[in-house]
Amino acid sequence: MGRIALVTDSTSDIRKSVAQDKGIIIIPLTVHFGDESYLDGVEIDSKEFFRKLRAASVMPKTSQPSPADFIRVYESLLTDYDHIFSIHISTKMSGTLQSASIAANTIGSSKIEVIDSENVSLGLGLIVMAAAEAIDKGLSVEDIRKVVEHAKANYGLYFTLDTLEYLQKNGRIGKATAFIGSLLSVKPILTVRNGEIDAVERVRGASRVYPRILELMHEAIPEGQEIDLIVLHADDEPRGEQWLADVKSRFNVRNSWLVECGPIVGTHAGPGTMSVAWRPVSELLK
Amino acid sequence: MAGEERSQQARVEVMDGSGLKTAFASGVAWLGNNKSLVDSLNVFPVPDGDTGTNMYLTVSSALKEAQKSNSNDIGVVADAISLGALMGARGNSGVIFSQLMRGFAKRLQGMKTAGPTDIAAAFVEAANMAYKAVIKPVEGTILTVARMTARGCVQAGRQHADVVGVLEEGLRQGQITLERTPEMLPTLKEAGVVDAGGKGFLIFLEGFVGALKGEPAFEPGELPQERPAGVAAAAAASSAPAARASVAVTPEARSAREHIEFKYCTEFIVKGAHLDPDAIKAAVLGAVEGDSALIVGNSQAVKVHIHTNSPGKVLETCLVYGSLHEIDINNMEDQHEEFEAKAGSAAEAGVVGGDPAGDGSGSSGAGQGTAAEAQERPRKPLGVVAVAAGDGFGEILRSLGVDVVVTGGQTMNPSIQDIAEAAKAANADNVIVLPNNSNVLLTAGKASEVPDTSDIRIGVVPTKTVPQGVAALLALNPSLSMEENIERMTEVAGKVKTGEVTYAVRDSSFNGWVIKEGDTIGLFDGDLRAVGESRHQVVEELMAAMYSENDEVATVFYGADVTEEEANDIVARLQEAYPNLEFEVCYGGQPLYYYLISLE
Repeated sequence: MGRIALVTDSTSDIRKSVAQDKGIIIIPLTVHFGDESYLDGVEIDSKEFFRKLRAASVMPKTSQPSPADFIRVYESLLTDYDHIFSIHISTKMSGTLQSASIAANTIGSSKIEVIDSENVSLGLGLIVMAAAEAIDKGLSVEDIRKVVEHAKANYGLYFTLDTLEYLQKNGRIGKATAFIGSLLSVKPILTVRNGEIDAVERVRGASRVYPRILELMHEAIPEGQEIDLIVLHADDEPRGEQWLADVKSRFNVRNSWLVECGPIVGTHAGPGTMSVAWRPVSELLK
Repeated sequence: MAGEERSQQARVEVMDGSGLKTAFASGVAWLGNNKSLVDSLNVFPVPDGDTGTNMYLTVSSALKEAQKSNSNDIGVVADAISLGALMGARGNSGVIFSQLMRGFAKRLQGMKTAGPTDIAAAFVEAANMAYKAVIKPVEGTILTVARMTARGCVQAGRQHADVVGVLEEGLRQGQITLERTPEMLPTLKEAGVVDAGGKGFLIFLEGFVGALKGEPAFEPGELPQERPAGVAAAAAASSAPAARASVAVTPEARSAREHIEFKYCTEFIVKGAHLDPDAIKAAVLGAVEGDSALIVGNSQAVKVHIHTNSPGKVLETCLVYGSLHEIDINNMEDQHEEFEAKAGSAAEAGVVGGDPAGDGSGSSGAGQGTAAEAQERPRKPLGVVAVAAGDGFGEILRSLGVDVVVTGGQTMNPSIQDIAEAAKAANADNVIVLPNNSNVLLTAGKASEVPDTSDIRIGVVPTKTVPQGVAALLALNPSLSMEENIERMTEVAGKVKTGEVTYAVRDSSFNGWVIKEGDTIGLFDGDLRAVGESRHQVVEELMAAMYSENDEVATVFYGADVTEEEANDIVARLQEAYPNLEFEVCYGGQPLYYYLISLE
């Protein structure tokens, strides 16, 4: 059995150190502040992004990688690897997968397998981490595919934002439009479903968001089920640590990661974003 | 026994469709005459839903439907009554009455005439149906009165009484039961009243029996305005006692029904400092001719309702006493036509189904008014209808995803038909209704029984207050099924505490409190928890009663009668007293309630 490569994009919000350790190749998207452009995770990190965001007079914009970016990466990988899994942000949120597909078709190699994660950020990260573990374990291409499908079908994800304004302005609001325009101050709880943002519910008062998310998790996760977990914060590490420790104390968590909301997701979600995502551990990974 | 006193009168052995119409019309008229008496029996010292008025509107709607029927079969007429009551049902008592009529009609279905034992059995079925309709039946209410009335009817039937004898014995046992309602329901005892719904039912029955007996009190001259045609027929019939129960409605009587003597239904609220409702009533009645006058209130607010041809004069007259609010003037000829059009199609649908509260066999009845317009657009899977009073609440609810807001609440209970219309206008396959008032719960539950909503699935989240409704809406998720949403919304609504600050409409005592008319009162989830003269003080006491350490968010919705400044001032003080709570002030614009407070 040959070697298998794993590619994703910077919207997965996987930490650089983790990616290096697991051999995951991350293709960066680009964030633009006015005329200035920065490659996500290469030329700008999360802390720098939020510092700029607070100071910025115009809203940042993002752009997908070009097919050429993918071609370069795929071609260099094909010299050393027998198969490439390239797993990306949902096509309903970004054209990234479009670029990847064009690249794969241009090269015309059946060894490149481009997969729509139908997810984003830590949800995408969770799927990529499952694939990385499967590759690490030496599973066959077929079994790795099964692990990815299992993760895509069985994840859970909740996130909250200070405001839906950013999602709306950037056209990424998905099915959460129903939550726009409330005359009362409410905090939305959202999820990603079928590849787009979807509404879950709203709560009054910021202090009540996390307890409610915990309740929803208890409803979703069978008692004692072994899960892998990612917690995401947007420039609020203490809060992220707190959520992670608390969730770990309440559920049967196998692997867990704390990640920062990167510039691309940060542009669309805005500050105040917090999120938690999990998936049960596939039998193939036990 | 009652029957023996009238032994020399001719026995009424059977009742047919016309007889039922005649008697029913008399019951409606008699209830109309006495509805303010029933209204005055409302238990809580808040400006409460008007039981008498609600029942009267319900039976009036039933009568109009009955009068459209040309059949002389009692089964057909009873069916029409049942449908009309369902469409016009308002308030809890109205809804229960509609279910009584449904049971009554069910027992008489397919019959041309009914004898004494049939009538008795129909009353039994009526009571059974009403018990089934109420989720948690409470003894000491109209339910108990209806059940014991039915028992009286059955007993008399066994002793071979005629139709009148059966009803008289029912009425007698109903009266005895009514007198005992304070013993069954402590809230009635404390307020020193009998049950309003039970009283209304018996007043109606009195009128019903009176017409059959041809008693002078039920002659046309003694009857109130808006005299229904059937009563005129009853009077004509009194010269021929033996046939009185089967006289048809004459053409003259029918045209009299369609003539509206006083055209403009004029409604508004007078607000001022030292109002005297009786003085305003005298002034209005002195200034204009009119009928259906209902002028009630307290020293700060008086509700004026009158049908007149001089609405301007009524307004001018009342302007002397204070400022006018929520002015609503309608030409009843227009309303009448609208009603005829709507009721016509609904009646057809209902008759086809044979069961007005049917299962969808009554077809859609589509193609009318707003529903027809709505149906040009594709339907969405899930819509929401909410009931609330106040322009502020209307906007808040719409901003939270409500498609149609039905105006109503404590004093203006919407009818089943109002809610059904709103459900159609929501233009969705599934419609969730938020009644937001305990007086509207049952009405909302029956909206799905209106024949032309048969192609819409209607579900109810049993919210009793607008704050509960707001909380429920936050849990609304358009991606989930109606059932999942109802479950989630119900759960969330139950976690919200509601405080209400209003004023007492009369002197009373409750829960050991002594309350004077005009006092500001604070209720926590319906229980009286604060009484005083200052709103500041009552809000603070109420908050103290509501607060517990787990609470995190408080929202104060201020009503039409208080200023934003006052609301902000009160909330600033609360924020000082409860530094850990997140407070929000919102304009609700609700009438009668100075403040609604939600705490969660």
